[in-house]
Amino acid sequence: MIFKGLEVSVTGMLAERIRMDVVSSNLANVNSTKAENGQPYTRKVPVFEAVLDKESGLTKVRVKEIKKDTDTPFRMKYDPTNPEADKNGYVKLPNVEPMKEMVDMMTAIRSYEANLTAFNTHKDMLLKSLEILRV
Amino acid sequence: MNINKIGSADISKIIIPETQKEQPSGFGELLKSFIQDVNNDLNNAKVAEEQIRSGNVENLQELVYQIEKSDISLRLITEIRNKALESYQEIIRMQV
Repeated sequence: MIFKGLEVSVTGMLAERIRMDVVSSNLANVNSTKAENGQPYTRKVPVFEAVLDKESGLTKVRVKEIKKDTDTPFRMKYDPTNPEADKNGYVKLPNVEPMKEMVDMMTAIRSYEANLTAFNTHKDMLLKSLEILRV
Repeated sequence: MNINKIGSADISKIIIPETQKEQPSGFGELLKSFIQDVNNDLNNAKVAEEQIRSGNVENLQELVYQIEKSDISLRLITEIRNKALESYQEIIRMQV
């Protein structure tokens, strides 16, 4: 199938788009002190999985799941006026670091561009091949 | 190393239909099924375009891919048609 390479590039773009979605979620919730479990918002990380396409021997990518980053500790901020503060005056903030998310964002856009370039190059190759017929 | 493997596998795939061409399904049948494929692609692209237009977009990349795929298929079949017509005219022009 001549379109297999294009399909693989599309799965790559899709995965990077989901990574961008996750970064957006993390950045939007950088100050959310209450999530569904009563704890502050926990940073989310996408898990990518390689999927072998037996027909062509190529490997596609897909987002297996979106996991929570439970290893990074919550940020503690001294702010006694905050209603969410504990008895010592500390507020538990999400374990999201905007700087880290920015780097993730740059990785996502660069990888997306790489996949897009692969897609366009593949397309150009197919169209150039058609010029053989035209003579 | 992997890339070589894929390349050689693809070449064998291309060669196999070449030898199978001797079987009853002639060039006409081949062309017919090819046209059907292209038509299918075009219909998919139409659906994709409608989805984009209505804003009902779940997966933009996939939709754009469908449209691009149908475009390439259509170009290929147009080239084949042009080539066939050209050959036909060449034969018609032949002096007897």
